[in-house]
This record gives sequence, structure tokens and C-alpha cells, in this order.
Amino acid sequence: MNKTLKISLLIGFVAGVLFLALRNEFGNSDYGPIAENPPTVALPERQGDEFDYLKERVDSFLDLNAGHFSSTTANDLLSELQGSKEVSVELARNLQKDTSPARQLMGLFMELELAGYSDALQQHVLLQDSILFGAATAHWLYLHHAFDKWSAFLQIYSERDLAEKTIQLFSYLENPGGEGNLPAVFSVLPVGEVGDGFIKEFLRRSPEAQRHFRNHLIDGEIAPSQRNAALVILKTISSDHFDEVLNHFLAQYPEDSQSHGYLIYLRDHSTEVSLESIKPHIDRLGSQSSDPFSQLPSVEAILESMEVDSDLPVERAVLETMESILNGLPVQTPVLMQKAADVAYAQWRAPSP
Amino acid sequence: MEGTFPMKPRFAIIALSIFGTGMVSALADAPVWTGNSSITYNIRDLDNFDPRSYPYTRWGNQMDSANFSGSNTLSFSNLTLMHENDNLDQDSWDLFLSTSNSSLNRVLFPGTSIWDWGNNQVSFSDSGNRILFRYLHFLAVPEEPAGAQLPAGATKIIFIIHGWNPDGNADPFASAHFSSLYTNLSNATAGTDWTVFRYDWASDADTGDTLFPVTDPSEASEHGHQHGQHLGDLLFQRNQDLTHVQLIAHSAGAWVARGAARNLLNLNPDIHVEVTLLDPFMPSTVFLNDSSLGKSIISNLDEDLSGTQLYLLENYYADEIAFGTQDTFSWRGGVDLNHRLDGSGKPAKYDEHSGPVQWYADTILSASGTTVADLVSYDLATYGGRRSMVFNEPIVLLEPADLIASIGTTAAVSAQISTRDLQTFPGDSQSPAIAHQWYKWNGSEWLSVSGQTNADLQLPNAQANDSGSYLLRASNSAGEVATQSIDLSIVTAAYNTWISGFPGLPVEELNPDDDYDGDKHSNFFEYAHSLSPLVANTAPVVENIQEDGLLKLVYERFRSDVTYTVEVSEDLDTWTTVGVDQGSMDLGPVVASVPIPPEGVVRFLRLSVE
Repeated sequence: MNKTLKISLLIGFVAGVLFLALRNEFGNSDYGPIAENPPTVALPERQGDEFDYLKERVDSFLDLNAGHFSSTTANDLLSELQGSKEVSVELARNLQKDTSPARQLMGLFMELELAGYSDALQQHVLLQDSILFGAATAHWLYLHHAFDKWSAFLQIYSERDLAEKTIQLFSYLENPGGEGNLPAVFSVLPVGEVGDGFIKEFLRRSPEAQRHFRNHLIDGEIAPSQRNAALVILKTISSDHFDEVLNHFLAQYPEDSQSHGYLIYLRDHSTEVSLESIKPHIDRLGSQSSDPFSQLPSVEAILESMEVDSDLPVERAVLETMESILNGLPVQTPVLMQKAADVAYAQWRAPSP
Repeated sequence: MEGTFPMKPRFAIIALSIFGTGMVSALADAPVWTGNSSITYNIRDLDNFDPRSYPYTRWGNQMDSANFSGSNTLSFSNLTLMHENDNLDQDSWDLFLSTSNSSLNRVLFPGTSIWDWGNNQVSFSDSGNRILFRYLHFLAVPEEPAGAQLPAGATKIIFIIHGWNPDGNADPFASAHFSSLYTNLSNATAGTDWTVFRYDWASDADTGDTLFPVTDPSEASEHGHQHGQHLGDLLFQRNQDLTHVQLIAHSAGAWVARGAARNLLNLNPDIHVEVTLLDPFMPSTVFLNDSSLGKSIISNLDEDLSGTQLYLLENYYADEIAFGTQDTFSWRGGVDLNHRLDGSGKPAKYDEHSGPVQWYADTILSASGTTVADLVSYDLATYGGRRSMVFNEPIVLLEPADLIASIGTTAAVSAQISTRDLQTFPGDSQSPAIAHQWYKWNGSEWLSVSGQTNADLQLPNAQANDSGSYLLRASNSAGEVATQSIDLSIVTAAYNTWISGFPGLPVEELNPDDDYDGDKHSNFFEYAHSLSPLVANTAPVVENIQEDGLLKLVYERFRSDVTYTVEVSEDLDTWTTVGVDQGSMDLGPVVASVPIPPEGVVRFLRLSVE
């Protein structure tokens, strides 16, 4: 006899995406005597001023230690904030005036979730020193498929304070969360990371930023893993600096070394992907399989090709099929949300029929 | 050689205070029931994570459940330990019943239960909810699937740790990718002091085969978290001389690796630890899966282990279909590694959930010097096997040798320390820098020699008091090594010339303290008395005479660079030159003397040379 499981649909969370929530048949109450765990930080009693209550609620959330929350914890908080939207937005803006970058970021995320993107918010983000704010804003717009605003925001964002921003980027190469100085709960929020996608788009829009990037790559103290990631990014965005930087590093290794071999591969590996090479995957998507799991590898293969060659002319119908498959999955993760946004972005870029 | 290299204490006092008294055993392999509502595995839990929707995973492995109203059947997996059907002691069984999985309330199997071991089922009549659990299997000695036990004497261990075991395999390592990893690691470490061991937690990773929802792999992760804590403590207690541990873990096995590193380094922060995660599974990454096991915990590992000999944290992952296995972790910038293995142009075989295991196996092969064509698109100097401790710990390439040097010259002893990676890939090795330090034995301990921090010992203007036993210790973040100790003898030029006049003496028998001919006279003694170090001498070199009220010792001074001293003692314990007439200081025959003692007093004379 199999375990009986009940699946209930919950609506909400970060992007208003549908998520399936698993609930065990026997619920979720106290746990047993094996590990006498301290309880999760107690929720404050709802009393007095609603603003203070929600503020304390958010503070408690930010104080949660690793191992004492899940994504449902974030979901519950957001639901509660949504229920008192006006006060919550006020709280969000208040948080953004805090001296703590973590609380400022939380405020930014809350405002985006509760009030959406606005010119005032954009201005606020542009004034922040940390690139985490720009990355969070761009990521939120991208995940919400607001590509017009996303593109415009990135354009403005990549026009000022480029030297400082560009150097910050290096901390996040192959390490999107940086050194983890933010509250643990940010691990279940789409904020607090600077991904490769953001770095590419930021650099793509600014030759000056690319120049700063090139200078720091050559002159800065860069770990080999960061160097590799930086080179891949320069190649992906077809930066004029790629060959020069690559040759700089190539000269550091003897020809018979593995590092030399890898850099030669990086130099010579084509970033042009032919439609022919992904045709088997496109054909598989057209097989009308009812099982999205079986088609997901093909979706991923096509997306990987589009990641390398953003101009790959994938037909709109194929993109729609990919979108349908991703939307049909009974599970969501940040990576799947990103893939769905990638497909939507490709649709946005594709010429109208 | 005198003594051994100083080792840091093993924190026995700390361990005692942690385990305390009154506990059954920190490592009991069997659960202990307290009444019908509590079960204890004695896991030392440093974390106290909130199990949220998975509290029952702390009690055991949930096999099945049903709401009984009369007769019904519950199933269990094939990895359940069978009990004899006539064994009525349910405390000794592998299975137990609870009425709930939100609070533990044990009930016994009715005596009329029918056990069908062929189909792994038990049928009985009852009423109400019945949850079938299997005890978690924490062994007192780590075992491989075939039963091989971890040697207690192992000092450097590479653990391979499997993940979720959805098919209930008795040997989760039987797959091609794990076989490849084990074989390549075994070959790479052959002839070294490393042990490769496959940690078997198959039965507790056997939580069901449903991919979605992710309850089953999440349960396995919760069990893995406890296995890791158990393993960490077990290693500390069993492998007393442990110095290095690499934990290579796939998928949900990441939680075993994380817990083991956490508990082990908490007990002994001096053990070098490397954690290699291959497509690690993070349950809380799957939205609304109410598990607290997630990337923030793994990201904290560098902080949890700060101040220890944590060598490297690595995360090699593929962006493939497995949910919750694409996370990156916030570790030490520029040190630890998150590296995605798939992508356009990368081999398809690495772009699946088991892909990172195969990839790491291939990088081990490559690290040993074999060209692997599939790896051309990876920077193997930066990622994979070449970065592991076994290839980057210091090793002795050239042992230092005994040396006899003349006073006033530069005494130079050569040694060579390297790493296996530096030896194989001198052009691009990222082996951590090696620090060198020479030590001298002072009779009771090794003391560092000031300024001697190179691979070669260089003592300019060496003097006699520089003579002694030396060794070189080399260390980097991947480990440390000590050379054999050598004897350095700083002698006069005359001795050097004299000893060189005996070409028949083996090179290792040239030291002043050596006694090649076995006549109980050291080379230096033979030099002082102009004897041959090649021919055993039995004739006395001194003569005793009693005359003129004196006790005389007659000998001959042959060397102007030797100090000859006659000493006196009345108890053969305390020796002194007080009262001794040393006689002539010139070369040639010498008569030293002391007055004959009064009645009842005994005096002994001896001749010392230095």
C-alpha cells in the first residue's frame, strides 16, 4: 500500500505563480522526542498597531536561522503582508530607509511584490551602492516577464557608477550569493544573488563597463574560477576584449598544460549554434507526449543552446510548446521559474508573426 | 629515532564533556525505546534543525500507512531486516507501528499478525491509523554494501556517499558511474596511505520511489542528515589517528557529508576535511516542500567550520531534470567552488543527475595523468579531482640524509617536498603553497630551528653544538608531512679527514656516534684513541695504577681537537672533575690521578672524550 498523499493547490508566492503544495495526510504538528529542537522563532501576538505588528513579523522572519524555515515560511509571510497591503507597502518603504543592507533589500523585495515596479523605486535603486539592489530589481522584472521595463531598467542602470559596480560583479562570478552575509531566509526569496544572466546583460549594455571588467580581470587578484566565469561571459556577449584577455591568460601557461588546453578550447569553441543541432529536441517537443517530465530534457537542451547563442531563431510555436511544458510541471523551483522566464523572453524577442 | 613528531591534543576533555555521563552510548547502533512515546538513537545533534513537515523522519523510515477498520495489509521494502516469525520480542524487530506520524505513539503488532516475507507485507486486524516504520540503521562500524568494515587504523579516508535509494537497492554503488568513481579513486590512491570507502546507508535512503512530490527524497535527506551526525562522531571515536577525510556525496548524500564534516570537526578541528558535493539535493528549494533542509544550511558550512582545517568545499552540479539539484552555495570567495558542468558543447553524459558523479570520476582519472577526451571543455586545474587533498597534500620526494660537516663550514642538508599534482602538472598546478620548517630534537621534544624555513637546511658557520637530530616538516592547507629524521654531525676537519681515510665504511656509518665494527666504541672514541672504526678493538685504551697514594688513570692523547677529561665518582652516578689531577695537556701519554680514598670509600675514574 502506498502512502496516501494529498496535494492541495496553493496560489500565490513570489510571482503569483501557481505552486503545488504537498501536505502530508497526517498534518504538520509538533515533532517527536528525538531532537529537542528549540521552536522556530515565535510569531508575535497580533496586538496594537498593525504597522508595528508587521514590522516585528518581518524582523522575526529576517532573524530566522538556517534550518528553521522553509519556502512555506516565506509564503506565509507574504500572504500576510498581502492581506494588509497598504500598511505593508509603508513598511517596505520604511525598511528601505534602514541602515542595514539586508533590511533595505527586504524592503525592496516587499515593495516589488506588494506595489510593483515604479519610477520612484527605480530612482531609489539607482542610488544604492550595492549591486545587489540592481540585480534584485532586474531579476524580479525578468521573472515577471516585464521585459520592456527590465530592458529599460538595465539600460539606465548600466550608465552610472560603472567602475564600482563592475568590480562588485567579481564577487559573484560562479558564486551568485557572494560570501553569504545576508540573512539565511534570503535563500528562499528571489533576492540577494547576482546571477550570470544579470552580469551578462549589465555588461552587454555598456562598453565602458566591459572596459572596467577587462581591466579588473587583468589587474585584479582574481581566482581561477572567477577568471573562467568572466571569460565565458565576455565570450557570450561577444566582447571586443575577449581575445586580448584570453591571450593574456594563455601566455601564463605552458602549451602542454591542461589550463592552456582549456583556454584554447574556450577560444575556439563556437558560440554559434545551428538549428540543425537542436532539431532532434524540437522534434521531440512535437511528439505530443502527455508527460512533461519526458520532454523537459529537450526544453533544457534548447534553452542551453539559446543561452550560448541568444540569436538562435527558434520558432515561436516551439517556444510556445516549451512554455506549455514548463507551465504543466506539477512542481516549481527557482530554476524552473528562470527557465519559464527565459522562454518568455525569447518569445518577447522573436519577431511578431 | 628519539620521540615522535609533536601532535596536537585530541580534545579528549571536550569529548567527555559532550558525551557526559548517563547516556547509553554516543554511538549505539540500536534504537532505545522509552515507554511507547519516545525513541532514542543518541544522535549528537549540533544543529537542532526544525524538521517542519518531516518530524517522523527522526523516529524511523516510514514504510506505509493505513486506516484500519478490520483486516488490512502494510508493506515494507526489501531492505527490512527479517525477524523470525516466532520471535515475540517486538523491541528486537526492525519494524514498529505508530498511530500517527505527527506524534510518536507506538502500538504493538497484534499477535495474530501474518508476516509475508516473500512479498514484504504484514497483515493484521486493527482499528484506526497505523503507520509502519522501520528503525534507522546506524551501524556501530561503518560498512560497505558487501560488508567490508572501515579499518579503525585508517588515517586518511575518502568516503563515497550515495544519495536517495528509490529502488531499494542493496548496493546503491552498483551503477556504472559509482563503479567508475570507486575504481578511479582506488587506482589513484594505490600505494598511498589513503583508504577509499563507500559509506552504505542504503536502507535509510530507501524511502520510496516517487519523484514528485519530493517527499521521498526529502525523507532520505532528513535521514542522511542524521547519518552524517552519526558518522562524524563515529569517526572521531573509532579512527583515533584520523588526519584527513574527503566526503564525496551525491544528491541527498550531501546531507550525510555535511553532518559528518560538522560533527567530526566539532570534535577535532585539526582533521583536514574536504566536502565534494555532486548534484546535491536541497529539499527546500522545491517550492512549498516544507523542509528546512536547504541551501542556507549548506551555505553556512564554511562558517560552521571556521577555525578548523576545512580544506575545500566543492559543488559540481548539472542543470538537468532533477528538482532541487541546481543550487549554488555562498562559501569562501575565491577558495571554494560552485561549478556547473552542463551546457552547450558539454558532453551529454554529464548533463543528468548522475552526470556529476561520472564527471568527478573522470577528473580523478585525468588527475592521475590519463587524458580523458570528454573533459576538454573543463578547466581541470581549477575544478575536479586535481583539487582534492590526495593530489595536493605535501609529500616527500627526497628524504634528507645524515651529514657530517666540519666546524666552521656551512652544513647543508637537502630535502624535497612537493604534491602529487605538482609532480604531474608542473605547469598549472594550483596546489596550495607549502610552508617548510626544520626541527631539532632537544632530548625530549622537537623544537623549530629559527630561520630554517626552506626545503634545504642551511647552517652557515656550523658549530659542534649544531650537531643533533633534525627533521623537516612541510605543510599546506591540504595536510602536512614530516621527513625522516637525520643525524647532523658537526665535527672538526681532522675528524672528517680521519674518517674519510676508511673507504670501507658505509656512508651511513660515518657519524661520530656510529659503531660500524660493533666493538661498543663509537667512531669518535676510536678517533680519539687512534683506533680503527673497521676493526673491533678489545684491548683497553686506559690503564689503572695505584701508587704513591694515588689512583691513576693512564692513557694517550692522540688528537689536539679532542678534549680528554678524566672524571671521578664515588657512586657511579654523580661524576665530577673536582679533585682530579688531569696531568699533561700535551699530546702523548697522560697520567691523571686522584688520591686513594680513605677506608670505606670507593672511587671510580673514567675518561671522557668530546
